[in-house]
Amino acid sequence: MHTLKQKLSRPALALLIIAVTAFVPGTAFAQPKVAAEIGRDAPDFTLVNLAGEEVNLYEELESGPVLLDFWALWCKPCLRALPGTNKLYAEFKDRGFTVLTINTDSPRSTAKVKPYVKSKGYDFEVLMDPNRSLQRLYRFSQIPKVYLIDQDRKIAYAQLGYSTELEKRLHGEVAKLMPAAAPESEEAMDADHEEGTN
Amino acid sequence: MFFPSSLGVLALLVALVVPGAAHAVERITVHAENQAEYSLNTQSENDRDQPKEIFEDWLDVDLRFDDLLLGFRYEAFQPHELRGDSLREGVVQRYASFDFGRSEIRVGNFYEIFGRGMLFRSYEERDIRVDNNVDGALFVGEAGGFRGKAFSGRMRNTGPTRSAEREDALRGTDLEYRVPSIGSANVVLGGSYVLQSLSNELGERFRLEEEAYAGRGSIAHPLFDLYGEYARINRLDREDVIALLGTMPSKGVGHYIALSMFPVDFLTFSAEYKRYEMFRFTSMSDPGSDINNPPSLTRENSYSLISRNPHQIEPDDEKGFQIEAVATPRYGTTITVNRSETAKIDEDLFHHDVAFNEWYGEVRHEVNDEVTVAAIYDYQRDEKRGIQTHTPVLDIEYYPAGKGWAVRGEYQFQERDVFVSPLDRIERSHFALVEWSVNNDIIISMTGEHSTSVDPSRPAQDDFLMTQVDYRINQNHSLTVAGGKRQAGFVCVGGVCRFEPAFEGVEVKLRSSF
Repeated sequence: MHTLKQKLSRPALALLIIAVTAFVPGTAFAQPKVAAEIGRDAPDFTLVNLAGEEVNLYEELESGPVLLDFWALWCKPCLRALPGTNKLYAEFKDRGFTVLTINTDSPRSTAKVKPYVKSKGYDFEVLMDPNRSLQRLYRFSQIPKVYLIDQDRKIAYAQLGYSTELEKRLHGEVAKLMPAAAPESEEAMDADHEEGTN
Repeated sequence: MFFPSSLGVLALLVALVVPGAAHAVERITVHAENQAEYSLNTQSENDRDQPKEIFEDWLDVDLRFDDLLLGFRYEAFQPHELRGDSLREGVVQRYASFDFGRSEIRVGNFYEIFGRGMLFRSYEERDIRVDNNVDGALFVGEAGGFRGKAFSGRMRNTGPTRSAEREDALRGTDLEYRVPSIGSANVVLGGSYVLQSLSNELGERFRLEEEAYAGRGSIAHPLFDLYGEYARINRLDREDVIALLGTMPSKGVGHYIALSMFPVDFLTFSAEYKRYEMFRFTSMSDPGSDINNPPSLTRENSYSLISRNPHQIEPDDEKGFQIEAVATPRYGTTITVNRSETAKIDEDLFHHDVAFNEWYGEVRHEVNDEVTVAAIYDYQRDEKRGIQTHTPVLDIEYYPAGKGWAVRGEYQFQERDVFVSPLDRIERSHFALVEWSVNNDIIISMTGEHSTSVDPSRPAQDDFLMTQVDYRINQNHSLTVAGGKRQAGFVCVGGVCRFEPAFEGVEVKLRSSF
């Protein structure tokens, strides 16, 4: 009877061994504090949104940080995360924050994406990537996945999966990148005060 | 040096070691992703075509110097003899691309799609082991409202024979024009052309070629979206070729129309129509490998029992429609109704030979911010395979506020009526899933299934139990270990399916990025 070692070629076996040892405690690669992609330049791309217009990442970054949120209609945790993403966008959009959600459904489901987004009343931008070109560009395979990109075009934060705790953590990371809200002018404050007293 | 012949191992070592050094060299980044899978299937003893142990690995390495990208993929599949694909171990992709801002040139392996894939789609769907990348050159550019793509290369064959030799020369071009805005509508017009030539000895002797072209248009408006595409395949109809290959229809035609409407905030519709006649555009050297991937117009279901009896697209003889309505009558409640029907093409207007039809209804309600409940009912009838199913599903999610843990449960029941004589029987399956996200790094899921059949030729009942643990070891490595027993069935993505044999044993998956 052949053992696994006999059946697998040496390169394949070596790959397996290296891959496993890559995260064994004590190795140089064990327990990194941050994901490998943090601090890297975010590759630029142009995709079409639901209105049929082209949207470019670097142009969007001119107004402030950008959140990339990859999702698909078949992915239940992704759908669960979208309301939180919409709230995040509503909270920070006035300070230059942009959310680009990237739909990765195959052409089979393309026609259903806009009706779904409209029915939910989401305000964020939805870009269509039916051939998953961005997943290859950013090199990942699982969703939901988010990348937070700062104005220097660097990946500031990356997150895989969904939980309410992760949602909170993402909120904190976005808040860190946002400039503090501009203090209201004295005139505006006086006007508010008068309205309040009348 | 250890294993000096393995370029893949060297590449992985480079990927592991170089990132630290790369940070010192400004504007050079190295990025690698590895996915390794191993399975030990004791059920394979009943099937000579299935090996007991399978190991697969995909390693992608990218080096980026500003706008220049260099990369390669190493793949291993053991034992590779299973799929008759001698190229399944080694460096199977290598590429270089340069981004000029408004245009990009790529040389080597690439994936691309024209429109919605009616004429040409090169893509990878690892779950169903489809990878029909093209090896050649690709240009993508835009100017003044025009966006064009052009390529020349050879597509990787993906048919059952897994003949990986790229014997067909493929050339294609696609051009889109964005018409200046008409009111609040965005209009895009486009067209594609693909030429395939068989470049082996036979092809060169008889100049075997096929050409395909398509025209499309789309309107995106705040109240509606409309997309339509017409495509045609011209096959050779020379007498000498027909004598050589036998009679074969010279023309293939495909129509696809999609209309979405958003009349009010709480109600949206989508309707799609297809008509595909001799429209399978396949490799001339491997008829099992598709060049196009037209929309299948059947619902992509994510519940196990519903997706177990899928309709596999048949572009040579198919017409049909799909309509879907999504309503949100109140905040937190979503109702989805879907109806699709696929029939064979018949010129007789009074004869409607339905091949597959499906009704799907779903009510999803957010009880509060933490709990969501969904009730689903699905009905399918597949005349070709003689199967009719009724499947109700109950799905409950609990995500406690501010916590890293969550629980999800599913219960599915299916009554499956096999009505093709002499195989007539009724099968009933109960399926339950419990998924516990212990924290952000560990997910434990258990699936149990109990099936009964009234057919005396089959076991009266059978039980299946699978346990899976997903462990995110750190930010860059995640491990999945699954063990148990599961039914045979189809895994489908986008109307393309792969049959997964019965399984009993252990599966291990490891994903890493560096």
